[in-house]
Amino acid sequence: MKDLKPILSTLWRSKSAPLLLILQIAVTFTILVNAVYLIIQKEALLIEPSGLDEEVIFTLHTNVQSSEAEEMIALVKQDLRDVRALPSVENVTVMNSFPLSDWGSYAPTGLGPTEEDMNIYTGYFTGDEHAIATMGLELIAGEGPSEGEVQDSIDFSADTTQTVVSKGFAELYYPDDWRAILGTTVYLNYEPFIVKGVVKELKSVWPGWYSHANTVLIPLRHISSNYKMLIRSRPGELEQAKQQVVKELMKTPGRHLDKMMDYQQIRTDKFKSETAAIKTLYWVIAGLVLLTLLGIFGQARFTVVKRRKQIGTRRALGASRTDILRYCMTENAIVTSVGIVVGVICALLANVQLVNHFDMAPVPVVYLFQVAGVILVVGQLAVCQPAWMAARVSPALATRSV
Amino acid sequence: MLTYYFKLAWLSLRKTPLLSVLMVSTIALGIAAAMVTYTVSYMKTKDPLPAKSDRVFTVQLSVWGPDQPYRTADGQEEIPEMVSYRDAKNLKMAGKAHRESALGLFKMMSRAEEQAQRDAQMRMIRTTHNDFFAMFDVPFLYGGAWSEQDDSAGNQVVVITKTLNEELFDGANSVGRHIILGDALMQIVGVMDDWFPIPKFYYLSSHAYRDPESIFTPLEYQINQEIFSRNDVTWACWQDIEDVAFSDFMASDCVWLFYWVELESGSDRAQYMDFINAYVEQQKQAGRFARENLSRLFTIDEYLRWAKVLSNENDMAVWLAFAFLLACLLNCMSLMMTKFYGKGSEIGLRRAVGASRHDICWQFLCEAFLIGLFGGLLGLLFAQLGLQLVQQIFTYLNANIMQMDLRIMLMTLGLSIVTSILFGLWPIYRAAQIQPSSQLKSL
Repeated sequence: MKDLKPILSTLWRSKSAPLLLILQIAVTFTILVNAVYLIIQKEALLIEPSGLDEEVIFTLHTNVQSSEAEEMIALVKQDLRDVRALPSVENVTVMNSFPLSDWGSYAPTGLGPTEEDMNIYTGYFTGDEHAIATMGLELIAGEGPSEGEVQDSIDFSADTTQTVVSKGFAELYYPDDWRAILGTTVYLNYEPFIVKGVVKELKSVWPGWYSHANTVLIPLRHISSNYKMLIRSRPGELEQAKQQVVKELMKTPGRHLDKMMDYQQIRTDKFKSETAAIKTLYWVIAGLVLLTLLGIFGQARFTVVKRRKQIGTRRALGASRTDILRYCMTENAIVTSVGIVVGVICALLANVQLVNHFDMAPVPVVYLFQVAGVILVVGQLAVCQPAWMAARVSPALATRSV
Repeated sequence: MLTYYFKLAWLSLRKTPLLSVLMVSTIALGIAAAMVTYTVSYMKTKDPLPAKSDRVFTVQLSVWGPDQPYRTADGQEEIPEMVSYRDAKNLKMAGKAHRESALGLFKMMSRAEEQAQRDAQMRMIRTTHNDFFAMFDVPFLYGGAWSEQDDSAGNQVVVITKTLNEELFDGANSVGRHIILGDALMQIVGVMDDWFPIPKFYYLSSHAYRDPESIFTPLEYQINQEIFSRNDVTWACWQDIEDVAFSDFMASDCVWLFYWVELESGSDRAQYMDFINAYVEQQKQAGRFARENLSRLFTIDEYLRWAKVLSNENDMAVWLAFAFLLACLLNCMSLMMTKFYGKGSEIGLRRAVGASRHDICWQFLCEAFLIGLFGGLLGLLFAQLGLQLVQQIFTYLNANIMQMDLRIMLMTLGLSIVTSILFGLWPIYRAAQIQPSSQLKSL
């Protein structure tokens, strides 16, 4: 610590070079904190569970070769029976849209039937009595629909009066005790529905949507000229199940299959822009760290070259190599720390802007400490070589050319 | 004299190669990062139809039912961005605009006539009127748009894209040949040349960065054939649609079409809006349009802003990149500081033999200029590599976004030179302050 005073007075006497470094570190710090925070937020979105057992599920679209309502329903039921009978298939259901798949319906929702009551939009799914088991949703209260309660819907027409809701949905209206929603009536699209069950998690088709966690699942077999099937394979038999399903369905002449995708694929597709943004941010961080490393290294080397004579004199006057080494490292630590302090202020200011302009949550303080730690370590690493160079300056240098 | 300074600057750069390379590449890195993100953002948000930016409009009608608004956003009632077939037909019949087209979409298995049935592929088919092509300045490679007659009769004709033509017909002139949509034989009347409007403004915002559909066919064909892919396209109704009959759906207020008009000039906007209001009034008499009339026209730019196609993510990337550039410039500034300090004795000597501070400043300004120039050139190279990389990462975006035009290239060079000089000013000022006496002593 006895170095502290001479270091400070040296820095004060030639301010410009350290000042630049301080500015650079502050800017770096600002970008790093916000970039790291963005990455963490986006990665959380990537791994957020949808509520489905994604590793054993795949989906497809297929056509119905009839335009008569009765016949269409019979054909679809037959398809479902055929697929369910396959050895590698555990269960199958027909839905209107699939979570995370980007195309789906939403419904204005409220506790009453009037326009004022409709205070939020919720994700709207339909499925038959196998939907909950096929998706692998965890039913945490009440019950799902029985076979007799599922209605057939040609092109969205049907009068259902009950629904299963997600826990997120229940907590919207009963924040203190979500179980209280069981048996109550909610209004979807201005129509009354009795809540029969609550599932722990069922996400909407649009990640990042404000109402992503709030969904309802209506007992409907939703059919039109083509329909959407969600299939659950037996564990580890996803590929066999896919092949068997294609083979089975293609037995019908004139059958079209479309968009056969397993859930990993749906997830990857849905989050491609986030994944891309994360990759870009990693590049930014790598670039910045490298740049800072170079900046500090260059600066430290320059200082050492400039001070060779002084260092020689100190050595001649009895300073050990460790003293010189410590002097350089401490000096760097001080400059970096000042940079970080300025950086914290800039980062917070920048974050306020980000919060205002881009609807982001403010950065938690813990990130500030973590990034500060990283920069300090990077700074010390960068200064190692120049400090070592300084320590090796020979005392004899002081005696020359004075 | 300037030539001499440039020569000095060049020699000085050559004398400390490592430091020069560091300075130039630091600037290049920052410039490249800034320009790559700027390019992507600029290309994503530039005007897709600049020649008609003030006279092409999309029409939005207050068609919703009496009980509830279509949607509310921030407490404000929103009207649908799409129109019903009924209204589209009425507007088209009235023919008040110079050019006008409704835009629908459906999904169908499609193949070339020569292909086997199992080679058929599911494709999205764009349905529209023939004005679409002229209104949006769509270039044609072979043939052209279908006729008015095809429009009104709903004939089995299609226009296909160059990409599809290459896929199905190896790029040959396929006008007069056929493709099969579902079971129907469709005659090709036109093959489009490359046409990738960015953003793809004419349909839903979620489609803004997808390529145009590969097959276009008359809207009336879709109506005649009673095709509607309810599970695959976006639509909305305020009425309960208990009845499944196609004709009832088309006669309803269900919205599923975009409606675009081109007027003779931008000043006709008010006049056309009067026509729309009169139309709404007339429909109100007939018992439709029960809500307050919020109908409106949007230019392409207004629509894209309203639909939030110009996303925040982009702006954020640009801000990050420019902050990165700032860090690079600061780094380069401290390197220049180092460099000029090292030249203390040379400056002292030059000053002692008669150079003024002014001369010293000019000499170093030339050096900063050279650094900026080389940094800019190298930055351009890095930026091209960066754009390649971005293309690898953002595979889902149209590749045409990742291209610099001449204006951006010149901007890159300019930015590099200007910022290098700007950030060189302080080091230069410090260098010019050096006293001849202090340096000459130790020589």
